[in-house]
Amino acid sequence: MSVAPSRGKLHIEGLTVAFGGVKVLDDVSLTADAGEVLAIIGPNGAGKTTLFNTITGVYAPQSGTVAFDGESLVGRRPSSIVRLGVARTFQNVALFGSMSVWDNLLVGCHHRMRSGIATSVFAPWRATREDRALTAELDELLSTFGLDDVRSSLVSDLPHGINKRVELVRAVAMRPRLLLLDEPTAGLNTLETAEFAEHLQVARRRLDVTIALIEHDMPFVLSSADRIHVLNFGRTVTSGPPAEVAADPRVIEAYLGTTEVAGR
Amino acid sequence: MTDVLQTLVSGVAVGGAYAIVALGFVIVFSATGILNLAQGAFVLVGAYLTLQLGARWGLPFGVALLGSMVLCAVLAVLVERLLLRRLSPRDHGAAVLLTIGVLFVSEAVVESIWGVEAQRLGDPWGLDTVTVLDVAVAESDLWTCLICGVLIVATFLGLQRTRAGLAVRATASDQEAAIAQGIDPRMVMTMTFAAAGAVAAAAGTLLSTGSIGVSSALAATAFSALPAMVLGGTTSPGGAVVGGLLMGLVQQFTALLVPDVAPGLGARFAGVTPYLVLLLVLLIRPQGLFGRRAVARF
Repeated sequence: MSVAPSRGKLHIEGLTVAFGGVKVLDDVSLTADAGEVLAIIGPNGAGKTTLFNTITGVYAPQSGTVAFDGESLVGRRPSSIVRLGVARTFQNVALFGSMSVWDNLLVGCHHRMRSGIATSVFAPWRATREDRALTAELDELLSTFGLDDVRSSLVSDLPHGINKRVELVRAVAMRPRLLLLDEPTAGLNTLETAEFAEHLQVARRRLDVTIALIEHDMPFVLSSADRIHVLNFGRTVTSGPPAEVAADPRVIEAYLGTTEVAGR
Repeated sequence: MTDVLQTLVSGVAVGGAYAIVALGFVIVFSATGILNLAQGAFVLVGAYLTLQLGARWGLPFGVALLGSMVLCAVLAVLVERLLLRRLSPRDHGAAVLLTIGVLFVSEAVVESIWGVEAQRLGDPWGLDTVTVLDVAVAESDLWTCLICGVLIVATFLGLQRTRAGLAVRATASDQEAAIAQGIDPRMVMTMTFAAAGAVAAAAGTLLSTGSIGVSSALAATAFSALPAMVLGGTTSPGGAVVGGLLMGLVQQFTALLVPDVAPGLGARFAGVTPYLVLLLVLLIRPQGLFGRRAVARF
């Protein structure tokens, strides 16, 4: 603990984000420790996606701090936050539809690629060596996650369930140390959700990664999260281990609706 | 038969130039959402810069052409950095108006520096011809075909094979997702403007070779690439190339046929044909040959 206690740790303190007069996030504080899976739950409009957008630098907070690895993320450009090792997936699958699965993964590696146009023209051997290393890496990723068959398919031609997985693998290709998953199982059936949970475990084993995920699927949350943070109307309701949170009457009232769903 | 082959070559030459201008339009438009009408300014300025570097300052033509391409790339980046970046990134209407302003200013500046008279470009080909299959073909047309071909291939290789091209394609596909992968949209905008400026300069120069010469009418000529872009589908680089070539061929064959078939239309009717084709395309297939029908889901 004494050596770099902030390594791999997401730390948010007193975060307030407002659009016009509406406070979407109001004094939210949360922490995800290194290697932990933190689930963020709450009804629609609770501010969950806004929280992600603030971490990734898309929105600027009115007040509060966001730090990863001890580095403040507030005021940084999104591209600079990515270089710190923050990757995300989107609620409504943000893949590059007109590009193949392979190219989508290649874009995930974009921030690690060194050779620019100048290298390709003046030192093609160096670009080629980098190409070969990347090709080997992507080949391995595709087979690990069972995407070999669709590597050349256009993403817009593939079913939603596959695309959710492609988006996860693209994030893995970024070699993140903080992975933000926005409703990873939205639109997946029970079988696909179980598959996704397995792939997420594989991803965790490969990467030294801290994960924050927004999710409505409670069985998935209860089985995959180490801790749960509950938001409602932009404020923290509670935070704690899954069993505790699921049993909390305030959570049940705000979000789960009935105890039956929580205990399922 | 002689006429047909000559017209075919000159059609491909003119069309090739339109194609690279249209490529510049398409790449900027798909990556940034801006219809960059200042492209006409770079076509115009590019031709005059080649004239200045080559005919006036005595540099070899190839060097003058390359120099003009580099200068126009820089100029395009300056327009983007100093002017367009000051506008709201979401207000593309304002951006388009601004690029029209740049076009008008460039025409005035070019006329005040180089005059309004058409001038010989000073290209090495002049009015020379080579005989292909017993037909005399303008040497400048063949070189134009070749250079345009090289530039088109280079553009596609750049888009498909380089890291920068990957970033441009990703941004064109989904900007939000591209940002989440660490791609800086401002960098992409700068790169696309530089590329568009460079190819526009080449197109301007090549359109002024041979018997045509350089004049400020070039900016208007370059606008024939706009119908080419729409014909191909506004976001398809391949479509821009096909559209450009078709426009060039339609224009040149119209010029060949009008005096015999319908002399009443007048000698300059050919210049209008790209816009007639544009009207037809918009009526029959508004998404263009290779464009996708715009579908918005909410």
